[in-house]
Amino acid sequence: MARLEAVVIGNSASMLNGAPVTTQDIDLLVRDTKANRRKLARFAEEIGGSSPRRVSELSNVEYIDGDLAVPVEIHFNRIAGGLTFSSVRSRAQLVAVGGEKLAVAALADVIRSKEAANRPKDRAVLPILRDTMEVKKKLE
Amino acid sequence: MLAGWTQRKWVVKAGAVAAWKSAPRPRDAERFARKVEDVCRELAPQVPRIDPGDLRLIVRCLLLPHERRAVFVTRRQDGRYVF
Repeated sequence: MARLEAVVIGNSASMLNGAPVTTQDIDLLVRDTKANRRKLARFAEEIGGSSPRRVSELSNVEYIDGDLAVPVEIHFNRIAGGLTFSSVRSRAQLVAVGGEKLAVAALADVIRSKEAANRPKDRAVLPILRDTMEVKKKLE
Repeated sequence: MLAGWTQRKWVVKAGAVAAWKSAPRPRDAERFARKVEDVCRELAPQVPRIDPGDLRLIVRCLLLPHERRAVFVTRRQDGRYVF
């Protein structure tokens, strides 16, 4: 991934944490630096997507789309729930997927951000994420 | 002498491997399904609030290796999408 320092968040992270959910995009949390912006542009090229563009005027969330199976959404520096890149990264788990190592946000952080975002789609998925968390703790 | 012994050792080993390979054993799928059942049976009384169907899905996902937890769709050169 062009050596981009990113953390997988959102429902992709939920899935990799073992929650039985699905998603239509991949959310990444990235530290907003010039170097990372360059790496993101290169990453977009490598996966055959569009250059990163803003979701809306008011948001600093960007997305890479185009001829991709799923779009990639990029969140810079922080996500809902007062979670910063550093804090999420510090609790993330390194997971090997397809020869790459991905930093995947902890399920507790995904839940916290979804509780804070509180959109209908977040509320819909929260019960199964909480149940997964409870079962995961019992299995540990 | 040593060469003969080594050769015999390899023949015995090859035989053992062949026997192991052909021995009847539950398929991985059966074994995995049984493991999920066992864990659910053990956990269910501890999490009575969780629907048994949801519990089975959760346990199944948690027992899968990371690579199999998410389904990745990729586009082939012919334009078709595959899992």
